[in-house]
Amino acid sequence: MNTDTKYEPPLLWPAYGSTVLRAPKKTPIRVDPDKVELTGPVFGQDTVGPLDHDLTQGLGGEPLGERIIVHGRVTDGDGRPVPHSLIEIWQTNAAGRYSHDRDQHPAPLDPHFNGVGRCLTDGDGNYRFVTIRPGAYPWRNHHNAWRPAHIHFSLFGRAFVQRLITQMYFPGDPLLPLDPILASIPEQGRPLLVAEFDLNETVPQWALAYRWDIILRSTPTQKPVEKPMEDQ
Amino acid sequence: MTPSQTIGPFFAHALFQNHHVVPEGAPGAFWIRGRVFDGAGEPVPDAMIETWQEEGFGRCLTDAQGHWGVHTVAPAGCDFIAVSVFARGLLRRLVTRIPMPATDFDIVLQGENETTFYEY
Repeated sequence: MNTDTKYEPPLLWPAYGSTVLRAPKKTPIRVDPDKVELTGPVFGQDTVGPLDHDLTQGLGGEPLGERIIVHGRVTDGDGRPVPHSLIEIWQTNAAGRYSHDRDQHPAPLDPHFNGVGRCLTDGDGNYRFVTIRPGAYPWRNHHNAWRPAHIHFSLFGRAFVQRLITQMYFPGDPLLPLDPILASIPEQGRPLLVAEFDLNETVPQWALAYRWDIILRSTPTQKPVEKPMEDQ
Repeated sequence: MTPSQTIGPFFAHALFQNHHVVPEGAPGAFWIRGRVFDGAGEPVPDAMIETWQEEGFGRCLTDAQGHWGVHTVAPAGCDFIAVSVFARGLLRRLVTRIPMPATDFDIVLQGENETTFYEY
């Protein structure tokens, strides 16, 4: 939906085979956002449990793998923080397997890790997760295809026009240049999806840290109208 | 801005659903239901559909036959419901608008009856 062609992937990208029958062929119609599209769902603290940001807790034991901190700041294209907005993440375990019943990768599940987290950004747009470094895994896109380790991020921002689902990658991963999904993004945009190692936030004797800042599109309104969800 | 990437195939265990924008029995409530199809006319079983209107947010995952549905009301002061479509094979979300009134809304990603998608 976003047409920032400097950074956004095209819809049709044959190197990623699943786009071939799913990418619309007609050019989307360009419109000005309606006022309802400049608002969005507002999720309160009650939608996020106290341990939801810590994927290493809550399942009865320590998960296997390398414990890491992933944190950063969400801003809009004008540099304004995006406060109190929902972030959802999901990822494989350390062995490269999702807790999804259709994932057939012959790698072990971890009973202490489901790879699912949520949090709200704070008043200044900051977020922080504690998790396990995900593993690479094979897929069937082409011969000997492997996805680089990544964490899926879903962001609501403060308005429908800001909605974003994307993936965060790890620096120095040798699979990055081989991945057709990352390569769908013009070259200058790819570094925006790679976290940086963050020694300052590393917790001694406990966990390495990575920083990944996220920039959502700007909205013309300073303060979107807030509407709570009816039920959930 | 941070670029988009596909939702991939393995998200159903991770993302909550909210089929009820308004509760059962709410005045004027109805279901909007439809299916999602690809360019070969096959149902898309791994899509996520989100709806947004002033009255609330809906989210559902398509089933094995591509069905989706939300229970809602006609938006006040707006003649459409805003929709996001995510799926494996979609590198960016697709945005469409369900014109009101409507109770059936199929989403055809590609082909002759392709849904009208919008961008800002």
